[in-house]
Amino acid sequence: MPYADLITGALGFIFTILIFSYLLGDNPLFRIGTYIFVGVTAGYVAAVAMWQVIYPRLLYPLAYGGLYEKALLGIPFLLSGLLLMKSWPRLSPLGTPAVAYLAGAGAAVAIGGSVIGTLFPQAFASMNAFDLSKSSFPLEALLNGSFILVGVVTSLAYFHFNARSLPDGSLRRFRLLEGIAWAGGVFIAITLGVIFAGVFQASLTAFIERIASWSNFFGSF
Amino acid sequence: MAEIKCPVCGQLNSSDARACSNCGSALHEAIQPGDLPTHKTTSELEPILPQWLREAQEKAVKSTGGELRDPSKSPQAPAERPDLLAGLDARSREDAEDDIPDWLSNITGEKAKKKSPPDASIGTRVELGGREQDPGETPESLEEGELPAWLAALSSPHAESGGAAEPQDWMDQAASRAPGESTEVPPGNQEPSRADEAPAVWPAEEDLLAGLPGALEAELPDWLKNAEPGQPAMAEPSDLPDWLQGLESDAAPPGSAGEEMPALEQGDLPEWLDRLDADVPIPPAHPAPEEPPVEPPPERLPMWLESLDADVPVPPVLRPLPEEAPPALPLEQAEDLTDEFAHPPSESEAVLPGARDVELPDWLLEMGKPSTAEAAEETGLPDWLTPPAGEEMPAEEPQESLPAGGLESLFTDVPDWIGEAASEAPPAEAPVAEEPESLLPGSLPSWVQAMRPMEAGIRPAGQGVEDEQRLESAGPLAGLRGVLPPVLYAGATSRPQAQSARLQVSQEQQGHADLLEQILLTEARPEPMIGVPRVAAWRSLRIGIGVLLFVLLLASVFAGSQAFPVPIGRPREAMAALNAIESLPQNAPVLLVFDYEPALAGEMEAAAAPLLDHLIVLKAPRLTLLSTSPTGAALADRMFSGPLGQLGIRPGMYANLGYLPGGLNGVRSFAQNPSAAMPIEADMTAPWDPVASGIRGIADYAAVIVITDSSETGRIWIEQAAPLYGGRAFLLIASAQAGPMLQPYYQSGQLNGLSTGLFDAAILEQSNASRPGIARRYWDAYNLGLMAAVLLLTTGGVWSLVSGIRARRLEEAGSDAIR
Repeated sequence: MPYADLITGALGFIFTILIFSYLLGDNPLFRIGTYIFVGVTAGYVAAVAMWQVIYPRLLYPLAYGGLYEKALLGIPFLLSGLLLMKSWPRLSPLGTPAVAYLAGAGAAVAIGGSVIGTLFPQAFASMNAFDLSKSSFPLEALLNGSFILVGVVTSLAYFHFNARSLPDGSLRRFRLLEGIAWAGGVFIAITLGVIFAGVFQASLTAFIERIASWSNFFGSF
Repeated sequence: MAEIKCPVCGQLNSSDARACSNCGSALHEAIQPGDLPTHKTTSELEPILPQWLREAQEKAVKSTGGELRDPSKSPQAPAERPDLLAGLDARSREDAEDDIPDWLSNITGEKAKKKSPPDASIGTRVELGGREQDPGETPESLEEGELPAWLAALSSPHAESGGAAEPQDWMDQAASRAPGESTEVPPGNQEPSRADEAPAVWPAEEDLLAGLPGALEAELPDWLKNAEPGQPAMAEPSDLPDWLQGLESDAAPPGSAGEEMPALEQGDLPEWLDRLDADVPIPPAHPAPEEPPVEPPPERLPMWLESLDADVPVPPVLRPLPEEAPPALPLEQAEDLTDEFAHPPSESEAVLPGARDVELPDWLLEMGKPSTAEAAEETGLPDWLTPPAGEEMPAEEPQESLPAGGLESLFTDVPDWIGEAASEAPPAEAPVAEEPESLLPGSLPSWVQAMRPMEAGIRPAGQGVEDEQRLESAGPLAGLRGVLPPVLYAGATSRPQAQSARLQVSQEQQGHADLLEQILLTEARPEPMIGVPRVAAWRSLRIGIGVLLFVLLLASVFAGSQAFPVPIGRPREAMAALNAIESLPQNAPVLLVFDYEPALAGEMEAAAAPLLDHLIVLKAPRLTLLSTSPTGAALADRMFSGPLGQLGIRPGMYANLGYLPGGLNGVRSFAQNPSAAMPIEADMTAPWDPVASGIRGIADYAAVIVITDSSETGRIWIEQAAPLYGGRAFLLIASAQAGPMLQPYYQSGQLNGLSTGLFDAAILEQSNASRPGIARRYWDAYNLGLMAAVLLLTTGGVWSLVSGIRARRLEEAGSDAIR
């Protein structure tokens, strides 16, 4: 067994025990393990940012690139410098333009992608579920489409919070809307249950992988 | 609006304010006119009385047989006012703003003009000699020879016009002034000499003349003494002025000397007086003397009486300050003039024949001697009482008009206009009397204090600059003006009144404040969370569940059991992904995106390994590795060195581009131009050759496989890259926790295949030529863990249900017992 695998396997086992100690509650072993993970991750990310972003995309072109390339790098270089001012509270307002640029560009890209990539395609998919011609089992497609439609409508109705005030001062939604919202709540509960099941499955798989690593580590001897 | 200046801090306040808005000091502490003066024995002031007052007092004592007249005992004297000031009081009530009092108008015949500039041509005011006069004017009038110098001085016009205008005789003015003349006379200046209009005024003058007979009788000239009593001229009352008529009708007792005085008519005048009267030039505006007037001018007095009235000195206090005063006659010149009167020149030599041909009586000479200015200097009057130099003195009341016994009342009941006049007189320009007997400023008598201006603290608009430009009168800065700030500011050292910091609130307000405070405290207090009470057994339960799962999984993994069969179902999306992989051409460029975190690397490696194994073994693609997570590049290397290590793929066989910064922006950028977004590889070598050569856009990849543990990351790739991809193999390998959220994208056709979690991996792994994989290794433990979880969840749910039912029954039983 290579020493590297031995060392990494031993470290993996130790840190796994440290994290598992959280089963007993918050304790120093768990904190030591988390602090080490955070520190190692931060250092690794910083190194990645330096060697995969700053150096190849900024410093290298500035040092060895052409004039045109250097000129184009002036804008990101300036914005990067302004963004660095966020590190000092007194100079942090100087970094606002860079942050504003990032936020504005990100919002524009996100909204465009959401509309084109999610909203319209999902709406069309909900409508096309009733296209019996595309399914070899029309009844199944009809039931499936109806289930999807009911789920979508009732789930959206669940988040409709308009209500009227009663004489006793309490608020109550419209009776029909309240029934539809109740059905939507059922769909939402199922969805959250599925998500929880998925989270549990993912966690269980990760847990199994850790145990398997122990098995591999101890099995290598 | 008038403002009053605070004597402490100098703050300007409204006149009706009682306290200063700045420092709170009282604003009306000064003695106001009308306040009851503090009583002081005025006999102490007698040593410093002016000489003329002393003489008047002595004469009054002599004329009354050694007793001073008590005005309160006199039936003719008004109860409130001394006789002399009664008329002034009436005038003051009628028009306080007028400058010329009524008695002066009556004497001089001049009708005061209300707020009109003085006219030099008609402004003839009676002035006694003795005052300083412009030397350049007196010789001129003497050279003209029309009047004696002292008379010219008496009737000289204003100082400004004295050089240009010809001096006029005041007697002519008085004689020629008609009562109906169009001179503006304010209502308050209506001639009070008429008995029917102002009878209350004239008792003062009656008293004034009542004391005269005794004094005058001894000094009357012979020609006057020999005059017939009861002259028929008295039958013509119209020849007399009104005030004299009033005297005749009301005051003059029969048989007194006053009865003889009106008998002197113009025709009965002595010759020298007649000629004097005739030679005096009369202004053209006046009626010609030749024309017999329908009604003789009432103001025309007998010469002796006019001179008597004019020559009697009046204390400067009682003189209304004129706007412009003609220069007074020096004492030396006045004495020369009296000499001239004593030795009149011949008629041919006389400039004024009437004045020089006739010998003046002794009493007239005596009257001409005293100088008011000298008297003021000798008596040491205060500055404000001393008239300014060069100003004309108004006509003075006869000295005999002063009631001898009413001197004290005179000083205590001074009308307001005198106080105003005194306050208006510029003290800086007044000659300073340096008599050792002068009153000290701090020991002013009460009557002087009462005469202080009423609005002492009120400063009219525009006067502030003058106040600040004060003339320094002492110290090294004496004579300089405006050097130091006003004294009030210099002495404003008092601090503002200390205000209590304690808020003055009523009990009701305090109650409301307490209620509000309680409400705010309730809002700020954190609401206690209503949760299940922590039980010590729960920790044991948690530890027990953990230990149970750990033991089950550890046993399953370490045992390497394969008791649970692999799933036989074929999910549609997973099979679509498999089909998409199988549809790829050989050695096609494939983009692998490793977007998951190290914490879920165990699941993601197990979920992705079967499909990647199938891809690599079956198609041998040219792999391009990319990640939007900084740790993605390391996880990619771990994938090919760990779960796929048996495939023998070395780093040179794929292009690991590493970290793609920018989040969704970076994804969008890479989808548009991959070489521009990721110019070099993670190991700083040039990418795209030879593995990724020919890639200009994301559409150039035969397949895009995104491995992610987050639905958000998968959605970003779907939204930003899938529309630009347009290919047939946009696959997604997701974690079990993100699969349900990404399932709709496969249903909508935006994904060509989707593999979720270990379940799909176990299905896909069956397609790898029955090679054992990670999924199968984990499958038994995975199933044991799921079964344990389901069992525990079910047990917990049942336990919770049972405990809830029990709690409800106990609650109902408790409520029934209470009932």
